[in-house]
Amino acid sequence: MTYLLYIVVGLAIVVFQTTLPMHFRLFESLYDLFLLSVVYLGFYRPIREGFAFVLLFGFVMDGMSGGPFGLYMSCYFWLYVGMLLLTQFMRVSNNLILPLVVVGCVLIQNIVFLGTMAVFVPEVRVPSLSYQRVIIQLVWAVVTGPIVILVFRDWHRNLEKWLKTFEPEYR
Amino acid sequence: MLLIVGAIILIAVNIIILSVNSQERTPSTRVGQFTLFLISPFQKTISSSIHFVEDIWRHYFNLVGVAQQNDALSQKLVAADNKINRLREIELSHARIEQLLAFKSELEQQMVAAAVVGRDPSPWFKTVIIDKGRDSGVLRGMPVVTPSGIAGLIIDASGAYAKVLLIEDQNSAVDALVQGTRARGVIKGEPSGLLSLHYVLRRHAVDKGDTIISSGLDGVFPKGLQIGYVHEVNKPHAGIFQEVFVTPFVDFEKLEEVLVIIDVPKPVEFSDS
Repeated sequence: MTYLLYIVVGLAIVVFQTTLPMHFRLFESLYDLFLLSVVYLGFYRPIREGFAFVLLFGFVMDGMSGGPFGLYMSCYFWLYVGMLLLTQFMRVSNNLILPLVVVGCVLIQNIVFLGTMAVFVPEVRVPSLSYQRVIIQLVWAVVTGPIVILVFRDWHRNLEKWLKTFEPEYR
Repeated sequence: MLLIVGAIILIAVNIIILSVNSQERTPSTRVGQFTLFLISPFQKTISSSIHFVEDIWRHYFNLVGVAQQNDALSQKLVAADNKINRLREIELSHARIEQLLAFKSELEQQMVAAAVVGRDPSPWFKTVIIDKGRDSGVLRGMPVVTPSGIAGLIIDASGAYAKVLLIEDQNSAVDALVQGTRARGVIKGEPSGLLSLHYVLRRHAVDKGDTIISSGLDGVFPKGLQIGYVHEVNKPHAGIFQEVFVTPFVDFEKLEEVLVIIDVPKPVEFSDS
């Protein structure tokens, strides 16, 4: 059930990110919403759930993107590893660190993408106005990221509790 | 210690894979086709729904100013009738001249119309997804145009959908000519959203406002398709080339429908390796 939920949420994020910005300029400089999933899975969910989802949707995003194949998968994978390491050193129950973590992830992803463009793709120049786009993404991330993660965490917990009521031993 | 060595090896392998994948100009193929097959129907549904709601809004809820607009338009109609008579004469003579100038090959080109249903998830890469694929005869390497000019190139196609690399992407390249002077160069995407015409010799005259067209020498885009107009020309003190920046005729922000030319003389099929 959990995996089905992740797949539905993941597909919704892909469709949202590749469709809505075409119609609503408001979402043009939105950050990659999958990063919220990476943070959520790294902080609050077991590794067996996280790795599968992170790699699967990294694969899907690479298929949809025109960038070098493997870029999204690599980015999500290493950020997820980073989240796991963070849980070793920090108390993730402290919600105040979430804005910092989300902003950090968005920043790292942009650096990786622009760095990849600059280093690997021949003749490509890094956009001079990139910083404006990155700043808008960071503002979006700090405002919406922690709220989305916390709301989804509570909703997911409640859903799991509700689903447990159908298990035989619970009754 | 073992963990650190393992992590270093993993990072090295990762960088090598990315490096190898980056060498390929057009990432492909089965993975891309699978994800197109998986995601694009949802994209099409969402896009259609948004268009539907927008249409309802435009046609039924936005009627406040229509009555006033109707009065003004009635007055304009009388003036327009007179103008139409004059223009009809001009149109007839223009049609005759156009028939003489039109290239026969252009008239014979077969095209498939497609709607844009999705765009690249990353703002740093410029691709779009269209709702026509191999089932409609759309293959990798086929040029994509709009009535305004060249839009891009098919880089991946599944049964019902295809991915288009727009000419504003920095990986894109189109062999081009300055229409007036026939100076030749290669159009590439710029981060600013403009295009740049590379390898134009300093001795060739290129002026602001000149139209840039495809040369047909790349074997992908038919000759004579419009690309854009010259926005800026810089002649640096050193070097044999001049810097030419071009504004594309196609408005990529509002790209909704495109045409795929499916009978190009020599469709370029990229290898999957």
